[in-house]
Amino acid sequence: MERIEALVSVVVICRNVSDVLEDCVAEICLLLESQYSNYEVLLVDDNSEDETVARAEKILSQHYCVRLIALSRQMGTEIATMAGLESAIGDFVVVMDPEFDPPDQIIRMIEMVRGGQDIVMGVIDTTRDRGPLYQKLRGLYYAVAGRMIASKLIPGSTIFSALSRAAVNAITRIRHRKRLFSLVASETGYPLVTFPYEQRDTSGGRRQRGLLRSVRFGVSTLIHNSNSPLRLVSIVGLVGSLMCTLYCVYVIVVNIFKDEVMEGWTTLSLQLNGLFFLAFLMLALVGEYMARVLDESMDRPLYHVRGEKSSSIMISNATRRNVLEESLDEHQPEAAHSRAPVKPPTMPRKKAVAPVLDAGLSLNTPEESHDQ
Amino acid sequence: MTDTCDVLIVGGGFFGLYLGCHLRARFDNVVVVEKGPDFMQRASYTNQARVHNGYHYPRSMLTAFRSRINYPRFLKEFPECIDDSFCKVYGVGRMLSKVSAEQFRLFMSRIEAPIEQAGSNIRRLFDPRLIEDVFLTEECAFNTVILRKLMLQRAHDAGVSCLTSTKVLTVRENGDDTILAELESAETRETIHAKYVFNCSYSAINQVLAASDLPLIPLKHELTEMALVDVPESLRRLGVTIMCGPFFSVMPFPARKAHTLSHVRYTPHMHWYDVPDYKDAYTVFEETPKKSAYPHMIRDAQRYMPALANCDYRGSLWEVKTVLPRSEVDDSRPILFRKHHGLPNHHVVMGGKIDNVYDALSEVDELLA
Repeated sequence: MERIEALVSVVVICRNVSDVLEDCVAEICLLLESQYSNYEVLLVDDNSEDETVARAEKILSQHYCVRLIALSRQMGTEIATMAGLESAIGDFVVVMDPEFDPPDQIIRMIEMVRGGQDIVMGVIDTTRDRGPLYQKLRGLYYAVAGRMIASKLIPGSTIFSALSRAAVNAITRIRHRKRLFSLVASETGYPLVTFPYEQRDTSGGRRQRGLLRSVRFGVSTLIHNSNSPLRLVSIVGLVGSLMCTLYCVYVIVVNIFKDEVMEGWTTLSLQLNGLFFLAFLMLALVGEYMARVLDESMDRPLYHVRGEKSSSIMISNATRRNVLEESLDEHQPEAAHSRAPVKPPTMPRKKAVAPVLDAGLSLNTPEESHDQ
Repeated sequence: MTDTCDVLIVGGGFFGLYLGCHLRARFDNVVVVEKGPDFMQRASYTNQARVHNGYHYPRSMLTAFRSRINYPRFLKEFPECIDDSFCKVYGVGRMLSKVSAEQFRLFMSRIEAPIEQAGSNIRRLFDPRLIEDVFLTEECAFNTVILRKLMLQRAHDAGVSCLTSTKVLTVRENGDDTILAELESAETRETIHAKYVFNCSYSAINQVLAASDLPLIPLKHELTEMALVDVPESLRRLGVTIMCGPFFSVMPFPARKAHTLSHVRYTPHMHWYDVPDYKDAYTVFEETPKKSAYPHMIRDAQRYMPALANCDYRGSLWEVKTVLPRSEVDDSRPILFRKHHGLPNHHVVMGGKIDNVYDALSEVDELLA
């Protein structure tokens, strides 16, 4: 079979995966070898505590085109993914977890990217994997967080994905510290399709997140990707200060219309509420400014360009020649020219030097335009 | 041909020829034996063609300093083959680099190698996220074809006997203070008595030693690939080297009027050691299937220098590169000089770089004095 002329990088995120790594890499190499003219496999070791690095080094001596990038300390899957993407040189890059993601799906995903999708994001079916309470909470979370986070939150998304070179370049420009791969990918705005697949858990459930950790992860994701919670604080602050104002009015009204008001109650209440009013107002203001600062400090690029296209015909009228019959433009009164010889009008000169510039505007031949 | 000579030199590369010419001043009868069909065809032709001025070795003070010393000498001795018409640029990588930009600059000022920060017209060729700093340096390339002509002329003028397509099979002790060498060419097989034998056959050093039952020298060989490319116009007058890690070099290769692209990660395809299991390096070279890593090299290189995307690939130069296993740590390139190796007056000289030949000469002179 003719192999496809492309360089494919597969980034394998490794964290204590000594048992499965060798088989996984062997399978990947075999697949890529049969399909693509060039490939590389990048093992990113997230500071494993088991034999992973030793196994990886053994793999290096057995397979071609494998690289090992060892991170200095445990950085987490998301940062490890980033390290892999930054080092990958392929035209197409696949990211995967050797314990869960099936290598035999790689080719299908890459072919989807070659077909024009810049990001193919693997998603797993999450409707059956946990108990009913967990499911309910997760549904609620996605409903709330989905509204709060600007980028699209993809339920069930994993790091298993295939990316075009353009998408990789865009993703590596986004440098959040706490990042969720699927969120960063969708933030770039590149065409994204989901790719449903079945995970094969070879870790024996070791890495399933408990409820508490899930909540922590969810909250952290929300806070790092959205300033809606902060906005909420601002609104509460405003409402609080409004209540204080109303209460002050109430205190004054009571003081005026009632006779047996305890001495000191009015002043104390006013003093307290006045201060609370100020405090709430400041809180609201500080919240707003913090939201702005947060936005700026994310240091994300102002925009990503998905691509540029230009018209296939640059000169609309190829028959036009750069020859003029008259030395003067007809709009130009001869008298004006003779009166101000130092400042010749720019229009006719421009036309003579670069007719291409305005060629797109008119389909007329030069002769016709002169006759007008 | 006489069956005695004063000096027999095994290997007709640059080192062999140079040493032959040098020793001719001291001895009447010097013979250089090359097993290939012509002189200086292997590593003396296929290399980066860089005359080192120290910049390449920011982690080995000695190698860098000796390069500094030898640089003007080489330029003065072989001006005809020098190409210094291009701008020599060194970039320092941000990630994975074993030196920082400041370290690099300091080191070069310490060995008094000219160095200055490159201007914006050059800096803008590099991606600042991957390249920490870019420096202008003073270095040049040599034309390996002209160098070969010069050396052959010199050997001819000096009266050095040069044999091609002749292989030195074995060397052994003869008992009368001479060494008996067995030579084989297409037609004949003969023996020759030599007072001194110098083995300068680079990657094939252990071939003679193994056949002669002499102790082998632990050498490491790499099967290397350099891509020959036509670079885009904007880079034509540049030689670029990124220090100091898994990066690349784009150097002018005057002999082919092109540039070579070499990459620390992709240029070596495989490596092997002569000890304990000896296998002839060129047999390994011929037997190994060669699949170009150019697609990898160019894709990685253009991350650092986007303009490289418009290179035209002309082919690859494959060669065996031999290094001393001990150089791996600091990437230095010392010359190996084994005096009286296995036999009296049988010496082994192995140099990693053409322009370091002068260091070997002083050692040889000292030995024969």
